[in-house]
Amino acid sequence: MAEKRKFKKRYCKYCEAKIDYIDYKDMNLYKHSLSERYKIMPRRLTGNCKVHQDMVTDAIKRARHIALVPYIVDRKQVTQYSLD
Amino acid sequence: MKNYEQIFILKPSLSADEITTKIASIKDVIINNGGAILGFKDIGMRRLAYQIDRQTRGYFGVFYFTIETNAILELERLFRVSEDVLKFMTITYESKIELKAFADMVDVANGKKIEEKRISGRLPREEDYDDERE
Ligand SMILES: [Zn+2]
Repeated sequence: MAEKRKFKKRYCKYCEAKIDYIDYKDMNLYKHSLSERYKIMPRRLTGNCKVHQDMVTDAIKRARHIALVPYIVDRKQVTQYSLD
Repeated sequence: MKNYEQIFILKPSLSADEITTKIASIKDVIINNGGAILGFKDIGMRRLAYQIDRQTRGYFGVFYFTIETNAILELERLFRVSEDVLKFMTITYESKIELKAFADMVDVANGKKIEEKRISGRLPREEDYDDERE
């Protein structure tokens, strides 16, 4: 289908910002790699490169373990829970 | 000696004094097991992303230190038996990139460096991204 793409140019925001490490405590660094329901966004949609996607994945897994990020979010919680 | 980060969540029902005492006792355990404290980050009381032991909030703290690997087992054992600790996580920093990040975090914890937040923005909605089907 010839749907209009909102994000035509996909580039890695982390490469652009020259980020060499993603601290799981710094949620501002991986917020944009999470979906509204706190799922890790696939890199074909975010534009993250492989190296940074691996860093993002590790950081989010740690953040989930220590209850900074939810594992699963149902409809009700979507509006309730905020990262800040 | 390796570089470690120990994050822990204390029960929200503890008083301010009890929290101070508990944090001091964690520090003592690290030192008594041969560790050297490099920094402490006081994150404070915050909402948990999911309930732990029926709690919705917790007091977060992070210790940065060096210690012999064997001592970590004892540290974790004490965390596990402590009723005041809701959850904890130990992280090792070893690679060159990790060690640099670790040094930066220690500097931030000690107020020698300002935390840099370079990527931010709202949480995207899944609809923000069009699927890449043809
Ligand atoms: Zn990248």
